[in-house]
Amino acid sequence: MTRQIKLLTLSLLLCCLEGISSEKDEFFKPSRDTSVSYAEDKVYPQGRIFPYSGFSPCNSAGEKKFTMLGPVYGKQDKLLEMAEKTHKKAIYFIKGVYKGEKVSQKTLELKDIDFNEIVESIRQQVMAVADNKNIAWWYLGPEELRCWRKNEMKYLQVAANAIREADPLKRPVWMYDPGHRSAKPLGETVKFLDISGKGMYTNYSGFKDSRIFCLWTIEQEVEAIKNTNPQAMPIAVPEMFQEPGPEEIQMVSAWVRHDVYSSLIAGAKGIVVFSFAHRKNFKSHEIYFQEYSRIADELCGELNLGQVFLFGEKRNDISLKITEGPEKVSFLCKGAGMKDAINFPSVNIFNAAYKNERYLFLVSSANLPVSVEIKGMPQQCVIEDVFSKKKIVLGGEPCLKLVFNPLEAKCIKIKP
Amino acid sequence: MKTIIRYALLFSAFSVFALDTDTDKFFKTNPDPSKELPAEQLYPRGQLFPFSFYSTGGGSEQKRGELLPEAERIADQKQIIDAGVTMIGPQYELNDQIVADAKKYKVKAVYTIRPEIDGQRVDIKYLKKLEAEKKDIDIEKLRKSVADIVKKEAVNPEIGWWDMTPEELRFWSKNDMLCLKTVSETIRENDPQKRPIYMYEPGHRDSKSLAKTVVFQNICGKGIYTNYSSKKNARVYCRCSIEQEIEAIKLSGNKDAIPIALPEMFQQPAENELPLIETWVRHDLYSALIAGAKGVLVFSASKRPNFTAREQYLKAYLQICRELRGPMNLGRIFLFGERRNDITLNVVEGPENVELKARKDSKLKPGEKIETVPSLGMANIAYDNCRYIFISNSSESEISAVVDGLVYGSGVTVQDIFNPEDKFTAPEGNFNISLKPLEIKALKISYSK
Repeated sequence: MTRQIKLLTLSLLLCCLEGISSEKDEFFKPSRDTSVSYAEDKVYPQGRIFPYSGFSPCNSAGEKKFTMLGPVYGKQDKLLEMAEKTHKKAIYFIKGVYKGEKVSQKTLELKDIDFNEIVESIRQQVMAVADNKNIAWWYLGPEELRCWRKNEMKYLQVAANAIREADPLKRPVWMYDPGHRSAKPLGETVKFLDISGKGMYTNYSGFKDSRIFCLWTIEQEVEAIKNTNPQAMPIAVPEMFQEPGPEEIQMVSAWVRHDVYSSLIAGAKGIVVFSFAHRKNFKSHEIYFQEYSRIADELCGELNLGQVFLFGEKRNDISLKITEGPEKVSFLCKGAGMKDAINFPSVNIFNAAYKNERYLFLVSSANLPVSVEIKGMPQQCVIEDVFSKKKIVLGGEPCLKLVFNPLEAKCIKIKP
Repeated sequence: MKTIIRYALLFSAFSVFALDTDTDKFFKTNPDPSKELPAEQLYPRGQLFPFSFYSTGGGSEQKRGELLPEAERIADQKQIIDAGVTMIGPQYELNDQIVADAKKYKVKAVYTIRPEIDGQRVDIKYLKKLEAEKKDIDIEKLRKSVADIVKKEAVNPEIGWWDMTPEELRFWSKNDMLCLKTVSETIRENDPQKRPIYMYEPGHRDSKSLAKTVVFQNICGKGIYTNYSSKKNARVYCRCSIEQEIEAIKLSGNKDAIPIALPEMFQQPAENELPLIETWVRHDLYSALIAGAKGVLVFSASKRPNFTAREQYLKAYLQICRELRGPMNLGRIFLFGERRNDITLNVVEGPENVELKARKDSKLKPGEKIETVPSLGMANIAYDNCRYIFISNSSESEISAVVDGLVYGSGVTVQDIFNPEDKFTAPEGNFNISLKPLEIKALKISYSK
């Protein structure tokens, strides 16, 4: 009898372990590695290198883990030289020429413009450097072309097409849109482009205390792409040019991390910081630059988290519950024509399987501390806070309790 | 180290992109020209924004021509005065007491000159009779009559403007033009203070015809009686009317004359239209100011039989009077701000143009052409180191538009003047706005460092 009881207990235990094991197997089912079909030595979307760059790169940008340099508004040949020397890729600036002058928004106010002349000037610029494989993307100027101006849209269309036709490597074309553009006007420009990247200058745009602007920004790009050019990709263009108040300097690190990671959570597939240039009255340059460089280490260095954002398989088996602090943050961009504020969760999550591991990127956009409970992971797994490198041990119940400082970004790695 | 220096040299070749951030140039204004004008005088001779109602305290709800009991008349006048009007009149039946009333209320008077010849009032009927009899008007008698009135009244500092009658003198009539010239010259000759002269012009006058009469005036004002003139659904008429006055002034060579707005307050709308009154009034008046009107004479405050909507109209006009003359002091901006043309308004959703004529059916008659004008009007005014943007939507549809051409800067702030809580940053040169049908927007754009 005793032996029967022992056997029964053992079989129940085995059943239980089997259940845990199958749950775990399902959770850690490896994602399909789609990166293998991308070239190792090319920048996304043509290759698997995570796009991370800064406008007008400063001296030390070449030594950091940024994967690209530029755009620059000055000499393009120097940019290419620098890219060659630092083994980085470049974002090359192309601007049409009309009647001997570089095209500006003013030029496009002229009547009866001969667009063929502009197309030819662009073709020549592209052909002159087309064989330089360090060029990863083309950046088209003038920037901020306005969808309500017929000539500007015509220019955007013919110029982007001229670049593509002259480039045998068919590298992507991007033009900067200003930060208050919503999905609809962004759709009007991205339909001619391969990259949608509007300004995400949180402080400059008056959203210092409403940083959910970053999430909204990428959502606008994603929506614009979905509606008008599903092949295009969204990128984030965060801010680095405005001196904060002396009492705010200690916030710079949190601001930068929040802005970049919340844009990645929302779907950004690359980062181009505006800008790495040294400026008069911008003493915090180094503080900003160090933080962007630190993120470069995380995204493009040993941790290689950029690959998770590019090639991770999005999952929806994790639940997040806010247990303390504001559940929602509201956002209103009147300059974009919004009439009423919209609400976002205060903590947003990107849950992705990458190879046989699981990554949870979480960013709090609240200006107050927030506590959360995360459920959905299997029992008996290894949990690591990637940024602090701390192991987390769960209690009996697989529930991860986290506390976020204002604007904090976290990366949680879950392993079998 | 060598590598670092090499990089340094290389990167120094990259120019830093400079945004157009010359905020000083964008916001800087010239000294306020009003400072050189007396504070207690009416524009164009002084700083006071001209805002008046015809027949303040006049009329009766019972019968045309009847006067109100004194207590009611005083109450009516006080209601208007308390809102901050700067003038009363023209007063028609109350003209004889206008100076006393103006003195009592500490406002200015638009004094009506009513000439007589041989005991007969010189009015349109009189002039038409002369015309029928192929007679010329007796210039000397007319001159004497006007001179007697002006000599007697010119001593009153309460008089701000002279109102010439008969009104609506016809530019194609020899006698009318002689009458206009004579009355105008005689007023000028006999008024040592050379106060401005005005005569009401009917709403259908175009710029060429207005130019013929404004030669003899200092103020160009034609009726913008939108509903009365069958422009209820073509209210852009108000903006176009002021544009015509401005063009007339230019054509006449009388460059010191000023355009003013004469909006409507005398016709009872249908019951279902009553909720529209405030929107109509705000649209009509502000779109006239946006176009360049430098004063307002509302026709009229007179009480009338079968005009129960008067109070609603009056409330709407008095609200605007407070906006122009009260703490917002928008009147100063319209009078003394510098008009600029560096900002554009671009319709992105909704009708770009509206028809000038309201048509009953959508079919065109053979040969008929539709004349259209932009749906949105805008005044871009620099004043006191800020920029003021007034926008009128003269269409009956909601319109989304982009205000473009601002200087770049994180301190560029846009504030809704009528709703000051509504404030936002516009750092990248343009921003979106939407306007309801016939809505007026007033935005203050400022810069904080």
